[in-house]
Amino acid sequence: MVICKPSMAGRLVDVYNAAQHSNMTPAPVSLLGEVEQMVLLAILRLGDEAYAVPIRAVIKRETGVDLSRGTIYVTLERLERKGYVTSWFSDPQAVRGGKARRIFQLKPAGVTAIKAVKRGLDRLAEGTVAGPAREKKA
Amino acid sequence: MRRRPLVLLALRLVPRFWRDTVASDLDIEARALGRGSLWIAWHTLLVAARLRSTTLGDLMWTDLRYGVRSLLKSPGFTAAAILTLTLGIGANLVVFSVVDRVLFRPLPFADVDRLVFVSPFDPESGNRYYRLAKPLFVEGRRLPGIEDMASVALGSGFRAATEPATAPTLTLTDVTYNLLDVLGVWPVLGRGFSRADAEGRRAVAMLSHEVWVARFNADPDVIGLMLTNARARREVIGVLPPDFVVPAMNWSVERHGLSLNPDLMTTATPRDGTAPGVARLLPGVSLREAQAQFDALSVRLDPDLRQPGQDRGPRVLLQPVRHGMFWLAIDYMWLVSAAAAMVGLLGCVNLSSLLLARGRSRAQQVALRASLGATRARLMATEFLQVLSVSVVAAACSLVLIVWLSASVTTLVPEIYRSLVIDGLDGRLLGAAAIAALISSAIAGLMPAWTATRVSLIQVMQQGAPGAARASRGRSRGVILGVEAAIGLVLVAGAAFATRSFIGLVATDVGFNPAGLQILRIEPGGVPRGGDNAAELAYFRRVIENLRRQPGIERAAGIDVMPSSGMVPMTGAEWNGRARSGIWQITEDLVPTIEASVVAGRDISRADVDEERPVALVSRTIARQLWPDVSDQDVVGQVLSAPGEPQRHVIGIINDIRNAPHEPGQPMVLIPASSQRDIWFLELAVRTRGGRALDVEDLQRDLAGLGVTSVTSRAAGGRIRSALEQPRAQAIIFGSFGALGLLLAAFGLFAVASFDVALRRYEMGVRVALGASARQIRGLVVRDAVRPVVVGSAAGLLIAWWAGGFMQSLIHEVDARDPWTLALVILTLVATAVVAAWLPAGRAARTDPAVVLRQS
Repeated sequence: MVICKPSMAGRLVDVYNAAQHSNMTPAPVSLLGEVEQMVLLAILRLGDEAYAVPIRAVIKRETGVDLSRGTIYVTLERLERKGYVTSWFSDPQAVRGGKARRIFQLKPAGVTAIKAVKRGLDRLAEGTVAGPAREKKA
Repeated sequence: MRRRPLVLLALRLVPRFWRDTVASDLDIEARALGRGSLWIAWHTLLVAARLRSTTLGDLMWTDLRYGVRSLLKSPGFTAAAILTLTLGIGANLVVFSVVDRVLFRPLPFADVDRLVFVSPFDPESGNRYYRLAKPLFVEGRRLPGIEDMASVALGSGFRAATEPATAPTLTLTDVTYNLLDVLGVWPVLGRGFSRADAEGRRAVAMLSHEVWVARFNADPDVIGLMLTNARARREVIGVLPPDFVVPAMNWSVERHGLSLNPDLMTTATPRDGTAPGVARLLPGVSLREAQAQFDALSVRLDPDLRQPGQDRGPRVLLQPVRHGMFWLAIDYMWLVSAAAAMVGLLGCVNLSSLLLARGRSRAQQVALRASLGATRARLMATEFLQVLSVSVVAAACSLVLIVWLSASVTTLVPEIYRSLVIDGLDGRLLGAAAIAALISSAIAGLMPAWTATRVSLIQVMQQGAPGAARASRGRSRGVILGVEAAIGLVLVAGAAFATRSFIGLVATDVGFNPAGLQILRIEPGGVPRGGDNAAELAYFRRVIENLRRQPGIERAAGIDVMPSSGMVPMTGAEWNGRARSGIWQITEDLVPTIEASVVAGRDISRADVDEERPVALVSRTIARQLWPDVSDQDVVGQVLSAPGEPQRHVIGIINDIRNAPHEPGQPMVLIPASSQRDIWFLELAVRTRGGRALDVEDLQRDLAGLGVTSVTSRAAGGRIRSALEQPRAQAIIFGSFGALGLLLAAFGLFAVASFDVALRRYEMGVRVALGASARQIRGLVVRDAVRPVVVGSAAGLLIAWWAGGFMQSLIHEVDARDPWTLALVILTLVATAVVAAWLPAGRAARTDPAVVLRQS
């Protein structure tokens, strides 16, 4: 199963580059809540294994935040409605009694949104103690 | 893993969209963690709760938006729905603004349930009196069931002149020192009356909060202010809390504060009286127990309190304060509220029928949503939210209407209730509007929502197929038509009786013509009063002559006291030992001045007055009482005699003069003014030219030459007008409710009949194809519409019959169960039904079988 169609992958790169090299004021995107950001990043990280159980687990492992299952579903539904993620049922697992899982995947808009939020946060934090450590120029 | 029933149950609670996902995810997790189905069920429940709590709000919002959009798409329906409900809710809110204070609003006293009025009462006649024997009051305070009792003297009080002189006088009500303690009310400024005030007979007063704010700018220095009038003064010692009302049998009187009257409580002689009391019962003492204690007390005190010649002393009646304060208004207000509720119900039923009709046309839409996975509950919620949004808009329209109409609504309310009306918007009215919107959506929306969402996909596919949705048609349609007819009948009957009563009163001959008739009172300065009667009579006649010469005055005459004023002259007599009446002294020309009519004989002439002839004019009532078997013509010439009175010959009979249209004619004997009797001539009747108003100041200047020091004038019709106020208000209120009822019923009938015809197109097509004539089809539709109306009318008739008992007390000289009126009402209703069904029937008759049958 492919994560995204080739044409879509190409667009993703464009979006990525545009976001990296633009000096313009970032286009305003709709705000993402903290949980939404975590869920989006977890989906990105999980690739085609992104369904609710590992999403929750990876968030807990990486951030220490223990979200309830319900919250994960509510957030996924909201993200899907906003057009940031899409989902489909996978083929049943190849074990006895294996289930079909609802797999989530970021749509380009989701990638743009999480990147924009990330960049915005970084800019805000830049030069403060919360900012990333700067590499000293030689 | 096989899913256990518990898990399946929990999964049912998860929104359908997530159900499979949650099931599979929890399965996977349970497998990994080695948990069983109990764990899965529990976590499914948690997830369901979380998902439901967020999605419910979102769904409502979505449904609401969907509902509003689909309402906007059919503006005709929406406008009709809002209009019908605005009428219903508006009528209720208007009535609520009038009745709220009487029926529902909490009285501003602590623990009102323990407060009772203690009023003197005659158990035989059922009359209540104003004068409570003081021993009953003093001993009553010590009864075991009574915490304390205070007294409020409404008739008397302190009137204070205020600065500037043009400001209205302040009227303070006389009360005992303990009133506020009994009521559980505390002053917001200063202090209340104390026992020491009463014992020291201090002249102290408290102002109402409203007066304090409006007249004294809420100045705290008002404490210590002296209120004065010509005779006495009162020191202001406190300010009452906002919205304080004097607990009194007559709400109507505007009161500006309280004044301490120490005399109300002390007993001098046993037969002294005080004003009726307000008592607080001890906790746990019932009204019945307290009444029994008072009964025992009045029996014990009976010998002391009995007036000479009476076979029994006074008794008292205990009455809950709210009922006591509003007993004049309560029945009336309940009846008006009931009528308004019926208009509201009719509005709801109408909306129901509209929604049913619309539900049919939207069946495809609903079926589409159902096939896309919307649950029944979801579909119903959408339908219901539509009704709710219509109701909310209607309630808002009603509020706007109320604010807009509030001035004219207030003028409709009889004077004595006017101060009860809540003017403008207040929290309770807004709350009432919200509740009205909710209730009407519940009444109007539930059945149509249920019916509209009970669609079968197959039926919708076979659109127009025979028998589609027939099952629900018969029942809901019949119920709606029947309910509409029943409510309509009751409303129209109420309107008919109230209007008949009012028209009867307006048409009642009060015995004189009040239009353009002014009653003057003059303060004579040029002649010593109570001295020489001949001089006084001459003086008054000079004044009358002078009045007759005034350019704006057509006629003028003198009379002791104008008979329509509600007062009777100071002197009276028992004539021929058979009947009593007052004796009015009049000058010549009185009868034409007030435009009374002489039925037989002649009027009192100038010569009768000049020569002081022993003659009399009698009213019809006294003539009948004295000479029941004698014709009018033969009464003339009869002799009137009474102890201490000279014998008089009757020279004429005049028509009865009534104090008010609903009061009986008075027994009157009118005699020529005589220098042998005390001259009162308190009032001068003046008929102005062309009904113009009198310029009193001008008149006063002209009469100053005769020594007249002051002239006051009032319209003779004032009392009649105020007596007609309540019947007129009733006629207008019930009349408009009746008209609204008929309009709404007709509208509803029309909607239902149209709905019916649309539903039965196929049937009609078959009938036409089989040879039914247009006339037969029309007759069929009309008969079908009218049949439930007849059944409903029968039910309505029973309700109207039952309600007639309550209505009777409000109407005058009309039987509230008059069969002819009721028959007319039924006829009106059935005729309305026929008219309403006629248009849809015409549509049915024009059914083209070719078109209809091809469609199926």
